[in-house]
Amino acid sequence: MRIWPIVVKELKQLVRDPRSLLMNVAMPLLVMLMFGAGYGGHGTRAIPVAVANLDPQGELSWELIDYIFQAPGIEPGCYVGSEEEAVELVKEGVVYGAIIIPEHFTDDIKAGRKAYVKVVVDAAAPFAPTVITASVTMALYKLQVNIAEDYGTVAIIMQQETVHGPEISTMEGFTPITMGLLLYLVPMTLISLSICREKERGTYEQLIMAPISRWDIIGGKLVAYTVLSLANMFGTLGIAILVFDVKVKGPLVDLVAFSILFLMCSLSMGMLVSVVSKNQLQALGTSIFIFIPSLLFSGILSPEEYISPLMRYLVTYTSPMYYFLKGFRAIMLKGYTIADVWMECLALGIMTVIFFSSAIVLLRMKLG
Amino acid sequence: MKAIVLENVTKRFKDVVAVNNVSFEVEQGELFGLLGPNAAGKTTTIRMICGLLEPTSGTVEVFGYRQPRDRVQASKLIGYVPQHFSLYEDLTVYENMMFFASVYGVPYSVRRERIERLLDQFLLTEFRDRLAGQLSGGTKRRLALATALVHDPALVILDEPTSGIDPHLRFLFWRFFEELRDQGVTLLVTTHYMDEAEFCERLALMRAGRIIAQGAPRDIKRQALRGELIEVVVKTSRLPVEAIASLECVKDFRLMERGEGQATFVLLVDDAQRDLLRVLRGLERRGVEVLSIMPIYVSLEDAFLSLTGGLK
Repeated sequence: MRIWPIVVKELKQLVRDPRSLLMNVAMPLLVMLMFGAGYGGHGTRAIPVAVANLDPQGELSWELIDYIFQAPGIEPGCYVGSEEEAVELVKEGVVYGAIIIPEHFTDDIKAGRKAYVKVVVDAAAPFAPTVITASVTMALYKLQVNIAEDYGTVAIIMQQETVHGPEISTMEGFTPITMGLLLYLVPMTLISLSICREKERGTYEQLIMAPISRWDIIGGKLVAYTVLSLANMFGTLGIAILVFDVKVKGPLVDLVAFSILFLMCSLSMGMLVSVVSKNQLQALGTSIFIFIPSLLFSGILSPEEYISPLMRYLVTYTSPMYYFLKGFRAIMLKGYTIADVWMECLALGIMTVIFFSSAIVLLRMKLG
Repeated sequence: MKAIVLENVTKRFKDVVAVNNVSFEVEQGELFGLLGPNAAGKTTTIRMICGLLEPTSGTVEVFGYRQPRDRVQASKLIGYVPQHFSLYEDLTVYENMMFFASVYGVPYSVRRERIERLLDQFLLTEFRDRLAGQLSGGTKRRLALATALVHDPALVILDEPTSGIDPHLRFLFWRFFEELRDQGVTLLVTTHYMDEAEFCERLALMRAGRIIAQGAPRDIKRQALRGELIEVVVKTSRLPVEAIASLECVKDFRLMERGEGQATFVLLVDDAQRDLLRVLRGLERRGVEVLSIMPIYVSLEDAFLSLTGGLK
């Protein structure tokens, strides 16, 4: 058995690089803590829903509303006076859905007639349709049980309508996430190794001897990796659209332009990682460490409203992934144009500029 | 204008002083050697000359450009060959040379021609489309040198260009260096091979971060021994100690060997060639019969060991 010498050598080597070791040991702990800080605790976190109670005099309509919001996960975002207003709020993305209780709701039940509740959900928002219909179904059941004694068994029917629908296939729902992961992790990891590799192989010494500037090095690498990543992007988007028949409701050109902006942002971020890392192992560790929280807190696992305010401001709103998903979903699933998602563009643009210029400033044109 | 001027240069890494108050100058067109054992501070010194490291104190100038402040201007004049192969292993020989030609801004019209000429000069033509990573050690060294020359630098700095290569190639390399010197290029070469350093016109001898001697090889040897050595074999039944001691040009002497009717002395003089005849005449005038007399060849290694007090 010659396995022991290898074991001992490996352990020694692991301990000799304290920074990488710390990162690899501390990273999972930190991620778990972040996860707890983001989703743990007993806070009332819920997605906002608009309510239009057109039967304000009837007591049963208010009872139903009480039951609806007893369920965790949704909360009344606002009360409006008409169905049109409620639907408009869903279309604008202010709320994830609307619950409309028609006139004579209470009277219909009392008279033993069929009663209706209308639920309008934003089909383009992940999670929202499921959460809202589940809450309403549960509330209707409770109401029916409660009133059975007084008014007998009454059918209350949930009419479901969608905005940005009628329905979005699983493939379409996952396309923004898949594109986000591919355009984030792959280019960032690739470019994060680029300067460290030169440092490790010793070619950096020869490169910085040449009469070139930081701009030349950072800019040159960025352009090269952009070209490569563009091929990657067109490939994945092409497969989704051509092979799997994913529908893009907004202009395709806008979707591509928005994706390129995101790509530049992840590349600049990877570049910055490369500039501050001492070796490839560190660069890789750092990339993964940046990637995991943006996976947890960018609206992939849950609606952003379910994340604690602390982590939302700390991670969600500082993560390019969050803005990408929002903008990409809007263009692809809601049919927005790039001008409609100017806020997301601005956020990605500012981050790109910050990452890029930090990389230039922090690049050392000296050794040691 | 001097090619390189170092004035009281010190480089400290945390608590280690790698280069300690070093000053020397290299004239244009000179083949200058920076000689010393491993860890003497040679690489740190040339990295400061290249502008890759900032001195902790003191000034470094290359053709009047202050390093590292004027790094960009100075680097156009410098061809640098680091100790370890630092070209792109995943590019071919030709691609490496082309890349560095373009980052150094060599005009497009002359690039190809110059690269072809260098490939030819350094016997690389047959490897031009081979990946650099697949070359043998010696070929990599030649490629590194050829690449350092693509922008026609006035100063070529080579860090241990001959360490770990076979004697044949070492000899070839020094031929290359002399050829370049003859073309008017200034060369700064570091080495820990004392025998090679004899090829240099001038040397600086480093040890533990300091320069312990500098000048032409002959001057350094003279400095080390405080003079030069002459070996005299005299025929005698009685040792001519007084006769030797009375010679004006002899600063010191030692009996090396005593045989039958003859004795061998080593004399320390200022200039062996000049004083050879004086010693001969002086001894004969004092009635000592000289069997043979000749200057002793002192190697740089001897000089170095003498300067540093042996292998302590």
